[in-house]
Amino acid sequence: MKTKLFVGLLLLTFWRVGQLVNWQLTTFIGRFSADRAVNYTASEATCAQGIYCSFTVAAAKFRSLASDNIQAVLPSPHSELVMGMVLGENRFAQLPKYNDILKTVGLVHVVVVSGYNISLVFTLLMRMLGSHYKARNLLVGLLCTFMYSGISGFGVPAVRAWLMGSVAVIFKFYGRPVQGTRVLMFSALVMLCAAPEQLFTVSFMLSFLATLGVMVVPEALKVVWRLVGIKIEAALFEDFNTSLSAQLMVNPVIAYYFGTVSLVALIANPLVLWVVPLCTVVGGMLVFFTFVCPAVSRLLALLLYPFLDVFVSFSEFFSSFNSASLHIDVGLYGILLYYLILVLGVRLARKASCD
Amino acid sequence: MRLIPYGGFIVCYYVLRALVVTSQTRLFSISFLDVGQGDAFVINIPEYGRVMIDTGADYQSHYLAARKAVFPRCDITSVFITHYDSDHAGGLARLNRYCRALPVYDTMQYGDVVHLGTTTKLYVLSPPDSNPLRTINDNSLVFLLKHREFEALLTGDAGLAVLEPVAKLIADYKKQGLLAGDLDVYKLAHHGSSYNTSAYLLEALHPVRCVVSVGRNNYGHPSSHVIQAAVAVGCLLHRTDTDGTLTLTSAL
Repeated sequence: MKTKLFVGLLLLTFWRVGQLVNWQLTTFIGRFSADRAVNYTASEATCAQGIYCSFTVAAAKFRSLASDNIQAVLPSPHSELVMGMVLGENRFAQLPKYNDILKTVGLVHVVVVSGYNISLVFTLLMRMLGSHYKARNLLVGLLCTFMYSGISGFGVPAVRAWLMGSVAVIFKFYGRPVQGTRVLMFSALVMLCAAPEQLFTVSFMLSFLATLGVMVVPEALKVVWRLVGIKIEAALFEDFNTSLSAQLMVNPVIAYYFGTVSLVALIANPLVLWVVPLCTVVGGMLVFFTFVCPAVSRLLALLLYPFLDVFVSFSEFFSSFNSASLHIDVGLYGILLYYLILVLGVRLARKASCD
Repeated sequence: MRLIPYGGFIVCYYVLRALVVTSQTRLFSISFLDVGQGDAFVINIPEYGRVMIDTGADYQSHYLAARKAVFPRCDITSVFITHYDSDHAGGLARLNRYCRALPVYDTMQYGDVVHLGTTTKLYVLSPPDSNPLRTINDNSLVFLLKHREFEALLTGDAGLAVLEPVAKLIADYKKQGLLAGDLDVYKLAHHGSSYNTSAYLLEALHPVRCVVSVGRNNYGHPSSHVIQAAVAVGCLLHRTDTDGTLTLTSAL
């Protein structure tokens, strides 16, 4: 039954993508190569009226208002970081220098709403409502997290995380086992069926590749570390391993689209990511209190600022190295060859692990 | 109990930050911030506070200025805007949102003197009057900043027609002994454009340092002729796009 569902979804996705690219292999590759820096905003372009449109416009207004409120209690770029972590609002265009720093250090992924935010909201709701094994609670949780991903602008990472989380909790509700890679593939197919143009957006590729990397590559890397005699018990090393896994998957795409790859991301990520959960939780409270009680929001800002400053200071420090990023010009076939080698490497490592 | 390490970290952070910032703000200094294509300068006057002249195009100036203070304090006491081009005043709204009720000075003319404490003065050398027929660039406020024996000429985007009379004024001040000697800093007008600085002007002013506040742009700023002329008069050149933020600190 599940296999049939997958095949059906896969065929539907191929048909939808085929419709979009006038399904011919040459056209497909031509389009893929030509649209290097394309950023599709089809949903915005076609949004003229209707509930969806009203909701996205209202959500954008809310984000803008909340961002102004945060800017009144926190300086730049700390306020922009909170906006990105909590609301997915990206105002770094106004801060080009810090935007460059985040790119150089490979920390842009922090300032979007993604899996961590969705799971955080869901967990908080379940704690308030009680057990998530009650159908009503589950529905409320899913609806609220969907609203949250909508408020954050229905970004690719947020929608992906919501879909994956929804499938996972529904499967758990029915006592079924959940396999991460299958859930990820299901989410990708659903998103592509709904909006096939997303296949060509950088955020779609990066979001799915990073998640796939975190799911699949760490175990293979552990085999490699064992072979070279490195012990992997330390928590920081686990973070390093996870970061490396994600980097291995996304770096070719980043190099292809932006022509540069961060060399310090592997060190910078484990050193600064510990502040992100804290900043997201306190930042969420800060956003809430800027509307209801500004005095409390100022107190929260006082507590939050040192952690944000650690993030800012570390990112500035790492970006100050001359060779913090490397310029690479890689072609489409080069990327395909890289992924082929990576898949083979992961399979071999997994086989060695099983043996 | 789990929150104790976080609380300890917060207390240590604020104590250390206060120590660092206090040591930095005890001396007079002027920082030419690297805000890309635009102007933003922060003057630290120990007995008065910090003053900003122009705010750059976006949030960049706020970002750099906030790094010099202990949160949540906004110790920028006042802002002077030379003129309302976006690359000079674009960051003002963001700054105002954070530092509430910030005094902004933008309508002054020749003869006005602002006393920033007892040792620092800001002389307005241009515009001579509020003439709406002049271009917005030529209506820029031109300041002579004087702190003890340190003197800096901050020119906004004023053109040659405005700056040549200003150079004559500077020469007169020198003769009268109002200036200690050569100008310590000359901020090249309009990001080093050839329409705003000439070899004659540079020879007349004879500054020790020339600062070009510039970023990536399509206007050809700074002009290679202006750069050559500045080097020819023996001026130490500092470009914010290649050399970053320049901070000059007074020993007194």
